[in-house]
Amino acid sequence: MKGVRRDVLLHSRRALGRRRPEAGNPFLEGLVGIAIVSAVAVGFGIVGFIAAALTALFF
Amino acid sequence: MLLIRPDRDDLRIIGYYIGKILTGVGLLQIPPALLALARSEWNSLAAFVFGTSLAIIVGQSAELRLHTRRPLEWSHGMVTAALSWLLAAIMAAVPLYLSGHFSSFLDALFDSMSGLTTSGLSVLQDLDHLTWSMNLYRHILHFAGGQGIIIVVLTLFAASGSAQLGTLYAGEGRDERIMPNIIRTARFIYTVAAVYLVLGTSALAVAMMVAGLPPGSALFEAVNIFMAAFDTGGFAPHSTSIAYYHSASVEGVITILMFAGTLSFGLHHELWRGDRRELFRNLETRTLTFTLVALTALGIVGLGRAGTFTEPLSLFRKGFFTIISAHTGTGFAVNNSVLYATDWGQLAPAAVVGAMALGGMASSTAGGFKAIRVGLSMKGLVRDIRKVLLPENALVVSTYHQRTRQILRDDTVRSATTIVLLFLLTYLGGAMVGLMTTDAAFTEALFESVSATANVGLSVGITSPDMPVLLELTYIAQMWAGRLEFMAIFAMVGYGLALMRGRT
Amino acid sequence: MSRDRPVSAQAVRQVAGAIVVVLGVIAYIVWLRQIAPQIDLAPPIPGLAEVSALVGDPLSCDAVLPDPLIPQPGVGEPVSPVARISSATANACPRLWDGRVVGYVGEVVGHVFARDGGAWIQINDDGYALQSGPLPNHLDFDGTNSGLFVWLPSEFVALVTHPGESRWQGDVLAITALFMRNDLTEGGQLTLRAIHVTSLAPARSVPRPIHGRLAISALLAMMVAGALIMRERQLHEDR
Repeated sequence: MKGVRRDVLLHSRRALGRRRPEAGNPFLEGLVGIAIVSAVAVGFGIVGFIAAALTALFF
Repeated sequence: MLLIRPDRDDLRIIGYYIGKILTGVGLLQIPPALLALARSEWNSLAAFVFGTSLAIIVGQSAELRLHTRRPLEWSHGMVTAALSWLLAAIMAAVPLYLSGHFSSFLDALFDSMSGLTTSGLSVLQDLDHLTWSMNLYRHILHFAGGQGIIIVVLTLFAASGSAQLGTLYAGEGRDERIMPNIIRTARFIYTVAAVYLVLGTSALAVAMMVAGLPPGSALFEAVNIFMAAFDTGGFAPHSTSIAYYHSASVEGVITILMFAGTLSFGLHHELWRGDRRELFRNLETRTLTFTLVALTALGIVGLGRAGTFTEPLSLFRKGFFTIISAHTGTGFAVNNSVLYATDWGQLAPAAVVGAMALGGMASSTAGGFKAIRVGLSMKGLVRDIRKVLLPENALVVSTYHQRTRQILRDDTVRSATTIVLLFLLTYLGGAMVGLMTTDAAFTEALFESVSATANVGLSVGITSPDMPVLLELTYIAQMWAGRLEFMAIFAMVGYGLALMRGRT
Repeated sequence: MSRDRPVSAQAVRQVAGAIVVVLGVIAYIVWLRQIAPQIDLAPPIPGLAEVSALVGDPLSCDAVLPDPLIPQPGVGEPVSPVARISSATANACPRLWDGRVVGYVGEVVGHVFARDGGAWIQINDDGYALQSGPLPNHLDFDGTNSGLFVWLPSEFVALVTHPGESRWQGDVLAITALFMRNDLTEGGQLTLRAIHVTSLAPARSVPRPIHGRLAISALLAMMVAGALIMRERQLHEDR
């Protein structure tokens, strides 16, 4: 019985897509989210600059 | 085909909800009206008061005359979504036309549809002498349309049960349920937009002041540019778009905002809640990463090969920004639009067209095929190739990750490829109309058609106040259809046919 | 399957009536625009005729022009432009003009972006700048704005008294400038770097007479809208 309940709980958590319970300051969470998005955008920018540098080298 | 004729009650429900939405669209004109009052822009103020009042008169008349408690069914939702976007654009065009910067009401309708669908193509004349309040209004249309005018209006009014809102939500091209309840989903979307509004506008205002704008102008321009960037719209307060600011830092902040705008609100939700792994596992982010990197490289190489730019900084600032602008569906430009045809060679504009056509993520403010459909179509193709190569009785199962691990089903792939096909046909159809009505080359006509359908807004110059009426109507229809992703419009057409020919 | 109360002829008449009302409202709005107060803002710009003639469009991008004239600092002779160009010509054939000294005339619009040694400005040469004046004071629609970015050395910045915007028609300047298709200091932007600048017409404020009929229509519409809102609220409470 215990094993079944554990499986059900695990399945429920996965189905809801949650890895940890809702907690913490939503504003701070939002800031972290924005920081991640900004970092990814900067990452693409770095890739773009590398492409530009390589293109300038060859053309 | 058996068609059941809609009865009076069906039309009543549709009219009732359209009335609510039109009332809300009228209220969008209040913030620019207040700005007009503050700046003594009396004629603009009168235009907004007239426009708001007219929308409220139409909307409230419909609500009073057509009041009903009957629940909204799926077909009602689809038809309401399609019709309300069209009627909202007509109502929103009223103050624009009264501004005196459009030579015809059709031109004003073009811009209002472009604003609401976050396209960004414009036939407004003499933008550089437009009043502040009218400029703000154009950008507010982006904000409202990007968030979804139906969901904005109906959740603010909490008009009815959330189950009914779901049909309208899906009808305007949004089908991702971030939270269990539609109203909570919408409120999360507003929260994201509000936090980005505060931070993004602040960052932009600072960058603009450093670039040389006085504080008042910097704040005004920053608010407008934020709405156009985050909602991947593309209108700008000045005729030279983002190049106007002569600032790499302004371009940098805008790049981040455009990128944020093209991410799905579901992904924002996961990131905000701490599930950063979603960024790497999500099929859409993987697809978008691949296409963005590939098209950026192609675009930059194209510019280098054409001799347009030969230095890294020029290649980066022009090439990278333009591809990001195109791929996110924003449509900001950092050079004159005619140069795409006269000075950018062939490969770079082709990369731009490819980026526009693909678009951003689903359930974001971007247009185009959407990364999820590109990803699903590719996965479906790979799965089918594996089926061919493996023994006949082998069971081939493909999965993908979109918030959770999901099995790739035939109907999912079919649905994705159907919409991609519809987009492709619309791109080509619009290009044909462009060829029939102008002297443009095929590549230029295709560029403009893709820009309109994918709600991007970059232009090679075909979109102009003197473009042929047929072409203008075609682009309006393309922007409308692209924003709603076709199904709601097909439902509306089917409803109309049923009205005329259906059996009782 | 049968449905109750199919759409009747009366409903069709009601819809047709609504369409007529809509068209009538649109016609009224168009009429309001047409009767908006108009002002003649198009006096001839003094000195425009003396500036060298505009190179006509269309110009073949394969045309042969004199060798590029690169101005040297300290040289006493004024540099003569190859031709006076328009922004349309500049964007149509950027490689033709690259490195040439050109003439350009237009209205300063927007903001003056001050930098070390000078400022960036935008100069438009469309119909609103040089012919009919800014909208919406007239019904001469000349298309969208068209202009170029110009770098003004610091000695010329004072010639800009007020850029054009909604309430101002900006200074009209005639410049002689080096055409740069790929200005490296501006991330590859197409720019004109001014060598000599003359003010042809100073900036002036644009009167904005109030559109009386629009204002009255707005007030009446607001009263009707208010009445409908109150009626709807009342019925909502009754329900």
